[in-house]
Amino acid sequence: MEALVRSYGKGLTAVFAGLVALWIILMIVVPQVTMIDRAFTYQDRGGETAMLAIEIDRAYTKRFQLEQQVQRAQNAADAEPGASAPSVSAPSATPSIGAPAATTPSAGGLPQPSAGGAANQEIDVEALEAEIATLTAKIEELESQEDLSSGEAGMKATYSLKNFTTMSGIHFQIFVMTLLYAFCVTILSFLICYPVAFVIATTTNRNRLALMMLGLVIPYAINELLRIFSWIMILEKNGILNTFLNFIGIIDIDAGEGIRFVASNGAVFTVMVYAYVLFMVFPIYNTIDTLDKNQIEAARDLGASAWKIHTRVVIPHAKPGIAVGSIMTFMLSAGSIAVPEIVGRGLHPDWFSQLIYRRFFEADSWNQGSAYSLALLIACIVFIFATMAIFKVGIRDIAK
Amino acid sequence: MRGQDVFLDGIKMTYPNGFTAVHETDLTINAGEFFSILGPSGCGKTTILRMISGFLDPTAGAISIGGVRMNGIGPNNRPTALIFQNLALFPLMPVWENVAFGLEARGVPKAKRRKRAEELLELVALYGQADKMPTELSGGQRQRVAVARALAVEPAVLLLDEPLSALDLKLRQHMRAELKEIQRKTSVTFIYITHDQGEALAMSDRVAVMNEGRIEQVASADDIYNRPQTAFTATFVGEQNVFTGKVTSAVGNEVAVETGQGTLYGVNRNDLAVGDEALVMVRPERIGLLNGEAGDPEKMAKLNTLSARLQRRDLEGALINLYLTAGENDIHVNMHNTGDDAPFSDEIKLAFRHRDTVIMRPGSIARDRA
Amino acid sequence: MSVATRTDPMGVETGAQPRADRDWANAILGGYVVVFFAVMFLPLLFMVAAAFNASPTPSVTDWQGFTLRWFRELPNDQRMIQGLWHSLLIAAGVIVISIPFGLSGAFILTRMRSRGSSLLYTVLVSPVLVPGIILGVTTMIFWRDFFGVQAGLFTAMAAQSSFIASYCMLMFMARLQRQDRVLEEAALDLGASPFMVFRRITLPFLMPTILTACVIAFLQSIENYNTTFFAIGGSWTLVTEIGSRMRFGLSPMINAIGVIFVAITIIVAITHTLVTRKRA
Repeated sequence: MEALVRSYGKGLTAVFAGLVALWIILMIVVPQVTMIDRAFTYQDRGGETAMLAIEIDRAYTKRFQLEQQVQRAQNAADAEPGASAPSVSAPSATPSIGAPAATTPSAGGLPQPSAGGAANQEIDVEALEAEIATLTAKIEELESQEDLSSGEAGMKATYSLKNFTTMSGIHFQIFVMTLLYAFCVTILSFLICYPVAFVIATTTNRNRLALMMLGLVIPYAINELLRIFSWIMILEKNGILNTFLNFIGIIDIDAGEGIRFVASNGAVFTVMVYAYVLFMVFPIYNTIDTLDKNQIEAARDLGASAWKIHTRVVIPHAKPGIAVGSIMTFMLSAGSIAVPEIVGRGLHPDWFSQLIYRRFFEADSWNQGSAYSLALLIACIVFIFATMAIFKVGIRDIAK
Repeated sequence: MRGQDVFLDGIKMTYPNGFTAVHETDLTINAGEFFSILGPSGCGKTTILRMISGFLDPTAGAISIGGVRMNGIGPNNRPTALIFQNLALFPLMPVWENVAFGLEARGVPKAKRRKRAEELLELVALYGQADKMPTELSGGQRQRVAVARALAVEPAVLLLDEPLSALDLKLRQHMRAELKEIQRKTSVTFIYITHDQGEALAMSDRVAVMNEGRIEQVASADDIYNRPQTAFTATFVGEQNVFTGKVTSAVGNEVAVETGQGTLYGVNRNDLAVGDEALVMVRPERIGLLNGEAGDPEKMAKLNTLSARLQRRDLEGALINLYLTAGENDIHVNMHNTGDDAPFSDEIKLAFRHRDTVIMRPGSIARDRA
Repeated sequence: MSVATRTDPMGVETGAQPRADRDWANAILGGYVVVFFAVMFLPLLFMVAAAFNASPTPSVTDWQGFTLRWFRELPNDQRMIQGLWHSLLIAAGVIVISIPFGLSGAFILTRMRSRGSSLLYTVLVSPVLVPGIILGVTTMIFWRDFFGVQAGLFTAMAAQSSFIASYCMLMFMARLQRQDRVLEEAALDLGASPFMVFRRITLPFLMPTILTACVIAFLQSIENYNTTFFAIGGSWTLVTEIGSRMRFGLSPMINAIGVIFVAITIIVAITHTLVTRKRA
């Protein structure tokens, strides 16, 4: 502290210390503690409250579906020349997932070919909107009831491990599988990346190097969602992959032989590798880049095989980069919500992050959601420490 | 500008890790003096400088400048200015803003700052360079900007931390003369830190030799070289041939020491008494060949002689270096090239005057000379 | 793209790996890298192409003619425009919060010598190493439990700032570690107050990094999905809106947005490359 005051003076030091304290308290430590506190607080919901919660959930889902219908109808109306109804946005309380897409596969926000006349549709819309209004009123009523019962003796909060122990077998299985998948994504990403990072780091041609760096930076900087989205076009039933298979005669799309790659575990896995592989390339490239390339030449000159050169010279040098890349890739995969949501379409077996989401926003069980989050957090911390131990690197090497 | 005196009263510096960089030290530096602190790296000289400038607080003792006690006063509030080893010019400011920085800190209005900066740049022969960036200047020019910047705050004491070490030899010699000239013109007290004895001896009014956190000797350049008081000063400044032995007689200022090379006589620097262990030292340039004097007993009575075996002879032009061995001792002789083509024989008789021979108490001997 | 064929500097065949073998290895490695980049870029290419296809489902195989319709429709999509506005609002907030926090953390960590600095460092970088959804969840819970703030734009901004500030801090630390500390001492010695040193020496030195950090923080904020998705409650940003539309099916409008994102990215990346190369 003395050194700080000496450097910045009392005033500035106080400002810096104050800001860091705010950062730690408001954004890092206390939020985590709040989550941990909730994770260990078991709320014994009376049967009545649980029923209410389910009923509210149902009402929300129904209303959302109706709103989708309204919007679709209006989109169709918009497409009519002269029609100028303002597009209705869906004011859902939380972006509810899964249900609509899963239960009504045809329900995309796509403009349907307008079957009926414009007049016919407007009546439709009015009827729907009336129904929505009724539902909204019902939701409000139910929620006020719920508030009452939860505020009073409806729930009894006690510290216990129940939020963890009541995790169902299926959920636990999903937890384990998620970590396992994330681990595989990490390993596979490393295998894919290492040669690329090595080639780029040892390239001596400046133009080629700049080109390859651009080749890495551009996809890296493009939004995760868009990169995921670009794969759906490939993997879809009428997508590029099936068209290609059709073209070379393996399947016949017209005969309905199109394979639905989307929403399979394989698709989720593939897209995840694609989405997060670049988080592995950069750290490894950065460390190999600092290796004195003469060491490689020297090892080669001494008669070392390619295998030996990599296992004895390059990889030991690249350890911190490999550790960072692995931690980032694992953390992103295990905590990914975008890939399973978008590629999985709610049809493939769940990813643990989706469970957490549903605990919070659908089952409205924040405490159990916290417990699940804590489980994921602990898994990531264990992975970080294990990686640091295996690669013998410190925390300062990791976050660079 | 007026120089002020600096008084170190029993200062001591112990770092938190327990290492004592400077042991209890008293030192008085006179106003307007060019004072050098000379010592090997790690001897504590930079620590002393940083304590005077206020970057370090002594663990014990007091520092006064111009009679004002400085303890607890930060570097920004002391009448000192420091010229750093790497100069520490602000790379993002043009030359004139660098020079005027201290004035800016004192709230001098811009127009006045600019004018003063140009005056100072003229003093250091950099007129017209005010709007350049420091990176556009040569090494010597940057050096002068650093001096101008330090002088701008009108310090009573200018502290210089080996500021010439980054320059090449020729420029270094030129800058020595220039610094000395600036010091004379401004009459500011200069405290100059260096490990280069040439710089210290050439510029300074007085030199302090430091070793392992202690000041060994404070004296004029001549006294440091010719009348060293400790083994370290003797061996660190200039070169010495060293013999070890025991005092066999001590009459007045002259002592006789029994060494492996027979009895050698010399000047008693440390009040040694009969029976004391002693070091006998003589500089290479004070040793000559024994020829004419051999037959003259009166002259011989004032000479130490010894015979040595020639190992190597290096001709350097004006000087000749002879490397010899006498028993277990290596002896280095440095003599003028008088054109007599001597000596080549294996066995050589060497002679050096008693008054050039220094006898002192054993102490630490400098491994790397300045 | 292929790999440069390395020639042995000594011109000597080394025992373990004859030249021909190595050429083969290099050719395979080069081919592999080409495939890698093809896989990286082809999906994006398809996505871009489909944005110009008149077909109402994004497709490149079912080409129904070139159109710019999907781009023209974008400005009429109120929810998207609103989302963009939300995104910009959040990003502005994130910059305002993250830069001072990141700077403070970096200043303290680069000067603190005590043992506590390791712990402090670990705490301050932890948001980078924690899954984004957990940051979202904890922020949401915290603000509701303690202050009764419902999840929305504010919590999304707070959640994003928690880790973006860490990124900024790491950037500032990297820069500060390259700073010549003697400059600050020199300024102090010339009589500057610590505040003047900070204003005239430290801040100008950090300025380029602060600008870069603003850009990075802005991009990170705009592009963030995981954390925002959990913390934003009933509101939405451009990206969460894109995400929820993707779940309900594909629309070429998403492709059109994708094209805009891709174009901006490529322009920025190439400009950056050219600028840094010119400087080097």
